[in-house]
Amino acid sequence: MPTTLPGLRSKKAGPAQAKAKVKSVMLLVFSVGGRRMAARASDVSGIWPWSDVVPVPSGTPHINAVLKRGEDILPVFDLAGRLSVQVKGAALLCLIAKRKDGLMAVCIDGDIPTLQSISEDSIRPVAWKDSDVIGTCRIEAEELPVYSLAHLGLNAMRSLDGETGGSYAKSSRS
Amino acid sequence: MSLRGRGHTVVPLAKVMEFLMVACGQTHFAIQADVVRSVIRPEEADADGVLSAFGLTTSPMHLSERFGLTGSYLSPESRILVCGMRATHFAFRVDCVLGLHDIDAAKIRPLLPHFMGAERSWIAGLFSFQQTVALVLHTDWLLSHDRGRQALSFPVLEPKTHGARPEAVSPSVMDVITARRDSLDWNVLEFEEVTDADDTPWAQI
Repeated sequence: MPTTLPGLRSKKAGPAQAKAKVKSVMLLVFSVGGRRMAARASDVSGIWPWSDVVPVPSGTPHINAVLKRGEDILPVFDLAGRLSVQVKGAALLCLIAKRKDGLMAVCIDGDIPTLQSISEDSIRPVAWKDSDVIGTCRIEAEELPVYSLAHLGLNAMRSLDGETGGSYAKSSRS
Repeated sequence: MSLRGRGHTVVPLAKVMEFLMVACGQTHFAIQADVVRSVIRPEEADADGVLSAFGLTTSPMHLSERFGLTGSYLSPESRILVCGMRATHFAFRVDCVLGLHDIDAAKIRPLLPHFMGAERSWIAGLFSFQQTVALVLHTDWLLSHDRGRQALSFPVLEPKTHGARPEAVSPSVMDVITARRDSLDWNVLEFEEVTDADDTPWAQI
């Protein structure tokens, strides 16, 4: 008769262990067109000063240029255009997003982004159709959308119905 | 003799490609040189005669219009290109001709995978050119009747003033260009995939 030995998995976690299981996640808080938003810092490769881009004729929603940095050539995702806003600031910044199919440049406002460490379960998931937002979280008394940079723009590609900004933009406009 | 038993060293030959570099707005395009038959100034008196010699009777469209966009016909450096293979010819306008450019085919990268729309049939690849990026046009598409029905997000920008050209334009480009190199079959060219970009030495957060 098979028996199961009591192992680590069979133990009930005590209060101290449950507390240790709460994972923290580092978010990068930045703004586009004055709208504050966040993304996982692990999905960000770096931040540069914004530089001139080369327009590319494109049918891909919101990807309409490339940016040359040294010997590297990166596609540019127009997040401001997706949100129907204009980036703000005299010295704009370039956020390098680690999208799952390769790095991608995103123009963001000139405000210096900040890092915030929060517990992972404080990100409340959302399921907005045609949106790159995976959840919201409260940072400094403000509810911010958390963007998935790994999938940025891929939802828009799936629904080529001309709608821009997704549900987040819609709710922000109303 | 090498360890592999070879008696001689094989030096891989670089496949050099020759492109005619043109500009539309702020974007540089590279057109395979051996399909370019003529470069004409639009204001030349016999421009229509040259075009009709190629069997072209309609007014040439702007290259931007091939992408479904509005082209600017105001550039003082505007030129008409006649491209073709065998008996089929197409003419279109560009804002500026920058000259011929040789490049090692290995330095041409495929269009980035993020571009997923119709542009994949327009643009074969890209490479660093001067301080910017040049887009290599698909010759098959260029020499077809296919026109971009919708280019959703290509900003139409006025061409920069060309008081000082970024690169000296050889007057010889204005004349009929003949194929100078062995013709390369563009359709069998394959560019290398994008390398893992995580290795790039950008500043980490």
